[in-house]
Amino acid sequence: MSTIEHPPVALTIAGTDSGGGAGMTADVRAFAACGVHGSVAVTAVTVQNSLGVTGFHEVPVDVVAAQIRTVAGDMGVEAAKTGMLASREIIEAVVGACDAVGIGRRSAVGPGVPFVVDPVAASMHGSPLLADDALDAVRTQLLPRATLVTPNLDEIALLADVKVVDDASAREAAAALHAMGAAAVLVKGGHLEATTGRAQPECVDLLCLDSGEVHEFRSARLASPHTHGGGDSLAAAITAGLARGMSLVDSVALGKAFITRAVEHSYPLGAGHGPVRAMPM
Amino acid sequence: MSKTPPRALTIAGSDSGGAAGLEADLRAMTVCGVHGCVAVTAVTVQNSLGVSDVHLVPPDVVAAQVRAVVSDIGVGAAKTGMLATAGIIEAVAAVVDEVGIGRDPEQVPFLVDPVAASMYGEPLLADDAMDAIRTLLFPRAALVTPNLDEVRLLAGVTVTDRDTARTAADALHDLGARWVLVKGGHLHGSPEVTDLLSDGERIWEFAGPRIDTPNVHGAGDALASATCAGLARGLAMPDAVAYAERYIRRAVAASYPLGAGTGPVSPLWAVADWDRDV
Repeated sequence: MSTIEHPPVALTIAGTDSGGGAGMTADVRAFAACGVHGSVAVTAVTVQNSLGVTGFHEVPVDVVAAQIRTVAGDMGVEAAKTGMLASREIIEAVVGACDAVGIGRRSAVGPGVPFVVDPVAASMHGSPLLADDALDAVRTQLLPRATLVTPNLDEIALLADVKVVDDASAREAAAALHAMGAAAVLVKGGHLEATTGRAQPECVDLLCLDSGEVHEFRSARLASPHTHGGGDSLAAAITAGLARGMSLVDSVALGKAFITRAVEHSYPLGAGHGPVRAMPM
Repeated sequence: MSKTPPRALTIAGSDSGGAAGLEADLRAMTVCGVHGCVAVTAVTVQNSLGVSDVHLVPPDVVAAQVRAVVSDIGVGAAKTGMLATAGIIEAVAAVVDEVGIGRDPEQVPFLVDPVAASMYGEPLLADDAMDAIRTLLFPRAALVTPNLDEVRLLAGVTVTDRDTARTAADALHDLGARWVLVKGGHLHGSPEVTDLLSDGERIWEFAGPRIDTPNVHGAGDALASATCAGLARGLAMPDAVAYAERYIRRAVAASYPLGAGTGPVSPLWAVADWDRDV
């Protein structure tokens, strides 16, 4: 054995993507690329390729909860993230299990390990991945436990009913999500060009902390159409940073550097949108 | 933007602990330069101590995943891991025929890793499923990669040395597989690990020192996935196996303890440079 200590353990609570571009398949790669051991609680199995989602199998809620308990109880989890949580019932089961094992800012055992909530509401093709009553469960049950919530602009519109068009409305959105209980909010500006119809030379993400501090993360906007799994990979890389003991601001910086390069090296795959690349191939 | 890398498909179960199953497959494929796709057959509740529950994915959803991947993304090779039931095996056999994955040279190579039990001995396969692997999957396999326990279950041969390993390879070849890799890793007491590859006529031996670690969870999956990645990249069978043997030796050497039981082999050695850069 060349290694005595094990790498930090991160957990993703998410759906699978048969095409291998997004969901927990992207998370597993991003975790490895960021040097953490990735563990998994599968919430759903999707039949999916570069053109969209054509089928869906939900994992029973008790099996979702059992995966979380089994991993945390034996290996320990240093940070966790959520991806696609398809129904209110699954969200409730996830919250129950996370509370029990000490994941999240509000848990049965006091403040727990960092919990990144990526409120995946629709696939990038627009197929809904979240039932309507699940949105309310995201607001009332997940956000109050979130160390960080990482919505894109569409998810902000759904969750907080704020249309982000500029810096002021981005801050307004962050304040609304804060008020729902999230400790920190990362407003991802990646979709701003599509939302406003105005050309955006830069991709600006705004990290709003509960102290009131705001950090801006800027990168050049890349023209790649192959950004499948981009949101998942960013959240996973941030979670990996937190699992490694980095501060939230440093973890987001790591995530931003990671995703910028992953988009830069993205590749075409199938007839639709290709994925971002976690590692050189 | 880069160019599209080779693609490979794993038809396998998920391991919540992230050490084995499709998680190990995805990491090995990525590290070996291949985009990994998945058809999930089962969701296991598992940690370093064992498997405490299994949720099966319906056979039609398993088949639909294979179809969605091959029709749009296309793959250069495919492998199986835990297939759990005869119903899932029947669905897999039918869909690989449909999409052109199989044993013949004009087909996409099909690697069958006949996972029968977890490394703790817990069955991952229903009783009638072993028969289905033998009769439905082996005749479609470009390569089968049993360990010694699986050799005994599938071919009724107990491997104790080089001669019995050859007898086993012949017996498995007779079941219909084009190539057979008999993995000697479970032959304890030997200072070397020797894996034997056969196409029914010729023999290749891959020998290396036994690495002293108890943390070998996911080693079989990683070896099969790296072989599958080699095939997807266009390597001939003996070269793909040789490539995977090099990969798994590094991964076993980099294994780490995790949890109270058996830790995993690690692909993380391969990402150290990438990690430093971020």
